[in-house]
Amino acid sequence: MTRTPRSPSLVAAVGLVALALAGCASATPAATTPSPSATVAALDGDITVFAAASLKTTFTDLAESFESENPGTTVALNFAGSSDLVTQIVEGAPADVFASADTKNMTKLTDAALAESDPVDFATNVLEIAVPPGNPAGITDFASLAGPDVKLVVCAPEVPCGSATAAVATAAGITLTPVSEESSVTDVLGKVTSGEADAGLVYVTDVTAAGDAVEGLEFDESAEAVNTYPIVALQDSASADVAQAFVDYVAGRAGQDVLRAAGFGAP
Amino acid sequence: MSFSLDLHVAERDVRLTLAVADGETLAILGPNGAGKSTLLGTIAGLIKPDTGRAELGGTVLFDLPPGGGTRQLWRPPHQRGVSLLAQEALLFPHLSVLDNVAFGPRSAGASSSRARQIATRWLREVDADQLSARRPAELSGGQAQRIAVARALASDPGLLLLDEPLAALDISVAPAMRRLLRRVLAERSALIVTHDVLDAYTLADRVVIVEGGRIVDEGTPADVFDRPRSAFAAGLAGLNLLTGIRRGTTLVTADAAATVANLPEPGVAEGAPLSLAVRPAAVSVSALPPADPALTHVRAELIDLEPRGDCIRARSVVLAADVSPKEAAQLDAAVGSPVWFSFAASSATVYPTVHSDRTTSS
Amino acid sequence: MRPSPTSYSGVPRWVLAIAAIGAAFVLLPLLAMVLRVNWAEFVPLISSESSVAALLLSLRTSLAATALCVIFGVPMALVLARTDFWGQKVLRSLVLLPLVLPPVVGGIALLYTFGRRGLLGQTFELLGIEIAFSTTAVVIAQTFVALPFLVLSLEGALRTVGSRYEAVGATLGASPTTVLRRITLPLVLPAVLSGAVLSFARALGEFGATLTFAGSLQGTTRTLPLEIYLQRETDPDTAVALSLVLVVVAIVIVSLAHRTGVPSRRRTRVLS
Repeated sequence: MTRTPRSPSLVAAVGLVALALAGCASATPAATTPSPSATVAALDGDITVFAAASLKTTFTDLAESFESENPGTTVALNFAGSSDLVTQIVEGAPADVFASADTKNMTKLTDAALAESDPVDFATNVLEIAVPPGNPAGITDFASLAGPDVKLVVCAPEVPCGSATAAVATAAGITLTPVSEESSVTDVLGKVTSGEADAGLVYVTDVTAAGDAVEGLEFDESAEAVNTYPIVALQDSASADVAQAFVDYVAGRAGQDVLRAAGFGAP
Repeated sequence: MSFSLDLHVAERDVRLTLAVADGETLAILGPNGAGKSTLLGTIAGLIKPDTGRAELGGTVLFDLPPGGGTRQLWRPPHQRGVSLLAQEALLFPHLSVLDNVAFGPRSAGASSSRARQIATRWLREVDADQLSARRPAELSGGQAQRIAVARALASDPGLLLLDEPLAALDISVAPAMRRLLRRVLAERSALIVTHDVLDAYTLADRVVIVEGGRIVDEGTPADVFDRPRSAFAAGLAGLNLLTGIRRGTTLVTADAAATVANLPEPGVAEGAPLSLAVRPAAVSVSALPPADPALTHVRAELIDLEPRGDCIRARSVVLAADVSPKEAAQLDAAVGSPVWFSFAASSATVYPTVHSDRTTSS
Repeated sequence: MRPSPTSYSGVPRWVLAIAAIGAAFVLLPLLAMVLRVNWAEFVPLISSESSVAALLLSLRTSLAATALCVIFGVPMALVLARTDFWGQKVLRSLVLLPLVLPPVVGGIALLYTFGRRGLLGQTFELLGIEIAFSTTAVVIAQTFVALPFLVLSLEGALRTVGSRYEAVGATLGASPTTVLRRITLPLVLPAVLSGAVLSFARALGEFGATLTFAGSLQGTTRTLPLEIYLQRETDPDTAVALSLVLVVVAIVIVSLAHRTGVPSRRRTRVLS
């Protein structure tokens, strides 16, 4: 499966910004595009970012580089399942930025009128088959997951990766009979790495992050269910400018590089 | 069944040998801590001694020779045919009286109905069959103890052990219980540990005194209590005991603390050890020497006057006398000074201290 | 025997105040949850296919786990209370470990034992017994976490009762098995029952070990707590409604435990 950039002009603009950033090593803030509230003064403040669990490695790196590029800012991170995070924010948890693993949960947030502006899509993710090293059950493609003796573990339909699994299975016309439907993709991956499951359906980013613990098998049908990740700054933030700057950072060149390296697709 | 025992428990410093003939009841008396409960525990199989051997009716209950070895045998309690009756009735709280008594026969394999028949018979024997449907929590202390006797006997033990069975009962209830025991123990081999001399007299054929983990006296109740060999036995029997050596017509106590004058016919050689026993009630006390010089008398310091019911006990180191309140009032001034204790020769028992055929202490 | 209203209880007032705060600490979250329940939809929510499947599975597995706790826990309590051997203290601490272990850690340990690549798992697989992803795995996880409850409460009761009755029974000719059957167990039956009820409650609420060890599939391994966890993602109303069901069941169970655990005390009537 190939990934094509969706917006050549955006790429060009990001490229210009990257050049500008490379040239200015001092503390002057980058003028990010396209942002309604571009500031010229040095960024200063603390923000808390609530991000989906699958963004853990990438956002940790991005937070560090953002902080070093903007001394005077601190980025605190909170990772959990997207719906958990939305619930916490709606109940009043102090978040400045929210990055969701799917649009459904982001919609809950915007419906509650808690977003500062419109959410920005910053990454996509597709499913991949994960098998234990050595592929003991000899999985070759998506259809072989429905084999009679295959112990398949998937996400439950109620969670984003599960609804993606259901969509892919329907599109492929195959009925899957998993032995377990987990509530989080981490648990699915865990069952595969421990050898309990013959195969699991997880995200591409999970396979990349697991390294040698699993082998990954890409499959064509995965294009039927693409998960889109939006990000937005929240209302009533104490450091609204820092929040928006981080959102732009993630959607911008630096963020995209890191996300792409981890396996995420372009938004 | 006849029973023999040889026992050594180092931890509690107990070393004894005794035997009970078929149908005989042996009473064991001794101060607290003398090892009586340990003794019963080893016979019942609840305490394991270091070395020893016990045999009941030809069956070895345990055989633990010194130095271990392959001959070691320890029969578990449920295979010994020895029943234990304690101070507390310890009736099983969750079973009815009838089922309590039927427990022994049931455990031996009798059917439920047969066991209840046996239980009913024994309940009648102890005059408690009207209580058979009750629960132990609904019984008084005396009733519970009766049922415990029935329960212990219903399992038809070869040897019955009784550990101070009347000690926890009300004074008003004890006599009836004592009569019951007398009746049921008549044909049975039994060992009864008690503090009460009356129990020994009423229930026992023979008596054994245990002190410091050793047997210090043995014989019929009359032997042991009319002619006590130790202060403890004398105390149990309620007698004064003076021991010492004969010097002519006097008895000189061991530490020369007192000299008893005008001994009755001693029956021992000059210089031989001698014991004299006399009841306190037979002894009079006076501040002046006794009027009748022929009375046996001792001069000793009057330590104290103790009220005891309706008489007062005048105590000295060697002797005690029971006096009336009027006499006590007169003696009050003499407390702390020497007085004269005197008694008729006929009231005292004088006997040699060493009796070679009585003690079997090791 | 409850103290009568006129007798002196001796509890200082400030102690009462602190106790009230503690009680509120426990009760207010329950109240908050009750207030969030969507009462209009309550019955349809808890009678949906997945909810009913989860509840029935939870009850079945918890009952099985409780039975196992009794079968294994009674002998363990007897050995700990009545025997004496070198290393007993250490063994007792290890046996009670599941009480303090995070359930997820317990699940991981079970996985390493019974999983496909586990200590015993390979033997089981050769015998054709599949444990992972089965209802058996759920029962194993629940038994693992609930066993210490029974052992602990029963061991305490055995020590309190003492062994004097057993000694009497032995002298009356009862073999050790008969003593156990006719004397020991009847005497501690209330403690066995209350321990079993506590174990049942713990098994019913078990989550972490089940999740890690058994997986989650409707009707096979998705117990009520797992169902609630899942429903949180999409349907908070269902999650709250099912949580309330679990709370009610727990309250009923705990009140049962309290009733069976306190033996009825009969007064001794003194008779002539």
